[in-house]
Parts: sequence; structure tokens; C-alpha cells
Amino acid sequence: MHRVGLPSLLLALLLVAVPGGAVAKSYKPINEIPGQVPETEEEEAVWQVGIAHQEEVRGSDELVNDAALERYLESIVARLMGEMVQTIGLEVDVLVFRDPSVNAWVYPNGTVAVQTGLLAAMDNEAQLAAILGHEVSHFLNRHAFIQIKSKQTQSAIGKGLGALAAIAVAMETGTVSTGLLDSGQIWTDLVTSGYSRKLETQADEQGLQMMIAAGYPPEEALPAFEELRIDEDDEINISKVWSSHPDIDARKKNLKKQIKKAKVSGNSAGLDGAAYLRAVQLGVLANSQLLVQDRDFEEAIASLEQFTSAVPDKPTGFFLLGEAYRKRTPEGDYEQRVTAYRQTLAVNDGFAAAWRELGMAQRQQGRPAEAGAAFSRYLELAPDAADAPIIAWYRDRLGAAQ
Amino acid sequence: MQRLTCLAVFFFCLLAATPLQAQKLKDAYIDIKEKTLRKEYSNLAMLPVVAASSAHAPQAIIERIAAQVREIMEDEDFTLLPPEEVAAIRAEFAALYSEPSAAENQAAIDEHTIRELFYRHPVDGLLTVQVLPVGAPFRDDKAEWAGTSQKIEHEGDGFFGTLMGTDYGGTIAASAIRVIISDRAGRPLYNWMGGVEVMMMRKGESLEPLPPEALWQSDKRVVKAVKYALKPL
Repeated sequence: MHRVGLPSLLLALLLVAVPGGAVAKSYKPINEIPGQVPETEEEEAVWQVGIAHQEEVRGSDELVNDAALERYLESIVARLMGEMVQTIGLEVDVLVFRDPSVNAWVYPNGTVAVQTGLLAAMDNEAQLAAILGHEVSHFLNRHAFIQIKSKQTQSAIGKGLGALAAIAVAMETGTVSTGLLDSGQIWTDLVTSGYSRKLETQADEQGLQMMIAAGYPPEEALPAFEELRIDEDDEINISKVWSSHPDIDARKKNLKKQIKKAKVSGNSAGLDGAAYLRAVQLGVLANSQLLVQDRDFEEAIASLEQFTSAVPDKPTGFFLLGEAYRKRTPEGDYEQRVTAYRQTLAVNDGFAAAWRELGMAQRQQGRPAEAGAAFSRYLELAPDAADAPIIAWYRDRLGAAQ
Repeated sequence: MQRLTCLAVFFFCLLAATPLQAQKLKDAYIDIKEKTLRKEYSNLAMLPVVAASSAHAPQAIIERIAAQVREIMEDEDFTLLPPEEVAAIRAEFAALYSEPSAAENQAAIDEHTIRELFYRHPVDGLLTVQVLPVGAPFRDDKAEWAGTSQKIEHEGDGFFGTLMGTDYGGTIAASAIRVIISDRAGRPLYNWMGGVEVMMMRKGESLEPLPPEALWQSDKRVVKAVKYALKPL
């Protein structure tokens, strides 16, 4: 039963409305006052809200939880930040969320969150660096806190009231009420959903500068930002984060201006697309699985085609490609499917599920001898699989029919 | 649930009225033109009706719902492979297991039942019927959801409550019949619900479940729910 606690709503309204005057204050970037941020109890409370969310998701199925992938992404963030990592004394931390939307954000304490959709959408490391640089700039300039302070002056009515109330209570009490913060969307609903155009522009420009200083070609920021464009027909891509950003054309125009002004030549780091896909392979494969689950087959197939050509020694890529074809057209695409399963087996002959699906496809194609052999191989490899009795039944029926 | 005073009503309307409106059955949708559905998906395999145990629907009601859905669909010129065909394949596969009810085995049986169904029969898709509890928004002891409405039984308001009237709002458990038509690739094309009846009553400021024997007593409500679930057809 939904309970509406009116007193707490009124309390929230008061709490979010009262301390508005502080917005005019300017906040120095974290790297200019190392060790002094968070500066106030209010800011500390905002940090704690973010940290509470990180603790909630860490180790959960919401994340890809691959140490090698996180280390790789952390190395990009560290490269972008350069000496600032030591200056601030920051322990660089990146979390990878399983979500097919093209999205990233940063927590107030500097932990960067990227979604698998973003990893899959980028063509190379340099493009990803453009987005990470943008997020790092939000952190350095304390935009989350500034934005929350700014939001406090706005009307509390409407979307985000619950999150604002949670922050307000945290600010007021200096403690984090987990009861108010059980939504994992708090950062995507609040902090990242509404940076002002001014803050976004600042993050774009500083992110670009960091990208250049790290040796990445700044032109790669343009296709990276293009991936953030919202396709009106693509519900998945209508993300809470980027949909509120200044429009992509205006941002790209400004970036072009900044690139021209920077007069950079010779930067060539992070352009090897195959190396990038290899480094983020678990993120891309997790994303492809999500796309298949969401029945976004065309996107999944395109992503997996690209992945398998770049990382041809990963059998899971070929298998998922076969599964995407199968689920898209259960009574068709046999050639593509069979090819993908065979490619899986060419890399790893012991990939049991590929033998099973190869057999199922061949059974549908009316090739009983080949299907029976594939089923037998599956049963050799996975005799205790839950579906082994059914696969044995298929095989025996095929044998009887011959 | 919150007792609302005059002042509270003002602020409530100002701040929090929208959640009630937002609690319509958002997961109901039709993702195909009716003409296309009739033309390209007229030959469907009907699955056995699935009733959530928490809906407390007796077997006779489940059979009544299945029969009524079949009757309406066939009147609308759809050809249905009867649910018995799916049940027979499932039983055939279940017989291969010593523990067919183990979760992992059940998942394998379910998946291969559908794959085998499609292997044997050239149907265009699946017709799924579910009986399930849903959250119905209510106000002033009246719930409205999925094409129906119902007064909520109540007691324990006391003398002044009865005299002054009450104004409660929230969400209450209610039953519904959901019809889903999906293609062979499992893409849901049609997903529509008809509301049956409220499953709780209000006692003062709390909601309590009605006893199972008090539910599913109105054939009229069941018939109306099935018709509403199939109305867009």
C-alpha cells in the first residue's frame, strides 16, 4: 500500500526551500584546495549520499564487476587527470553498470560510473576519454553539489521531490537515511539529470583540455558526443542524463571552436578500435546480452559483428551473435546462425551451448544426421545440463526418424 | 494511507496528486495495428491460463476464463491451437525428468516446450492469458483500474468518520485478467488487461485482505474483465 506522509512532504518543502541564498557563492575546484573538500557538512552529506549508493551497488548484479575492465577504465581517468590524482590524493575508481543506454556520470567523491551502452557506442579509447574527461570535470568543479544547491532554490514541486527531500534531510541532519535513498536512480534522477547549460559547457571544455593534455586527438570528441544524440524513436537512448544536456549540435559547435582554438597536432593516442574493443570486451558482451533481452536485435547484431571482427578469438561473441540471429528470426537466418555457431566452435570446440544450438538449427533445417551428431557432442560436454534429457530425446527421435 | 485534513488536501493537491494518476496500468499496450494483427497473426497457439496463486482463482474460474477467451477470439475469426496441445508437449518433456518441478528443470521444460510447439505447428504466435493481482488506485473508497471500478468495503471509521465522511487515497490490491499476444520471436504485440475485483477491504486506516472464499463470486465481473481485456480486438 502506498503511504503518503504529508508531514514529511511539508518538511521536505521547507528544507529544500529555506537555504537557497548560498547559491551565489563560488566554489573553488577540488584540485585548487586539495584536502579541503568537502568543505561543509552540507557538502559532506551530499558526498555520503553518493557513497551510500556506490556501496549499495558494488558487487551487485547491476555492475559488470570485472576488475580488469575497471582497471582499464581507471587508467584512462588517471591519464586524463595527470598530476591532479596525486594533488587531490584521489583513489581513481570506475564502476561499470549493466545498462544499454549511452550514459555516464560522476559521483561527488570522484567515482566515475559508465554504462555498458556507452562502452559499446564508442569506437575507440579516445572517444571514451572525451566522455570521461567531461565527467571528471564535473567532479573537479564540484558540479553535483553546486547543482543540488541550485536546485534547492527551485520549486520543490514535481519530479525529483523525493530525491531532493532525501538530500535535504541528509544536509539538515548530516546523516544519510537509507530509507529515503533506496532508489538506485538517485544520481541519474537528481545530480546528473539537470546540470545547467553553464556547468555542462564548462565540463565539455575542460574535458576537452584534459583529453588534449593526455595525448588524445580532440577531434574524437565530436563522434563521441554525436553518440549522445537522442533518437526520438529509440526509447532506450532517451536517457535521463543526456536528454537534459544542452543540445548536441550546440555542444559540438562549441567543441569544434575549442578544437580549432587549441591548434593541436600530433595527438594520436587511443585510436586503435580493435585494442579498445578487446579492453572493454566484457562490457560490450554484457551490453549485447542486454540488447538481445530487450529485443533490440539489430543493435545487438551490429555490435556483435563489429566485436567479433575485432576480437575473433572470443567464442562468446560469436555465440551471442548466433543467439541474436535465432531470437530475431526463430524460423530463419539459418545460414547466419549456423555460421556463428560454427565460428564459436572453431575458437572453442568445447563450447557446449553452441553444439546444442547448432543441432537445433540443423534439426529445423531438416538435416537430422548432422543435428543428431551435434546433440551427441552437446551431451558429451554437458551431461548434467538441465536440458540434457530433452536434447537426448531430440537426438533419439532424430535417430528413429532416419 | 493518510487521513487528509482540509489544509492537507490543499498541499496534497499541490504536491502529490500526480502519483495517483500515474498509477494507471502502464504496462498495458498494443504495439501493432489491429488490421495487421488480424492479417498476420490470426493463427495462434493458446497457452494454458496462468493464474498467480495470490489471485486465489479457483480452477473452475480459470477454466471459465479460458473458455470465454477462446469463444471471443474465435468469434473474431482467430484460429486457436488449443492449450491442450501445449500442455501435452510439456507433459511429454516433464516425463523425461525425475524432478520436473526443480526450478532449473522447469525452466528447461518451459523453454523447449515452446520451441517444440513452433517446430510442430506453423502458428503465427502465442496467446497468453494471465490471472493476476495488480495495484489499483483508489480515492474516496472507490477503486478504478483496467476498465472497471468498485466501491471498497469498509468498517471502523467511528462516529465522526461516518458523520463527516472520509477521504482516503492510495493503492489497493485488485485482480485482473491480462491477455498477451506475442509473435514467434516472443515480441509482445498486444498486452491488455481487464480488471475483475478488489481483493482487500478498509478497516479504519488500514487495508486488509479479503478471505479467498469471498473472491471470484461474481460471474458478471469475470465476464466483463475478459471482454475488456479483448476489447481492443
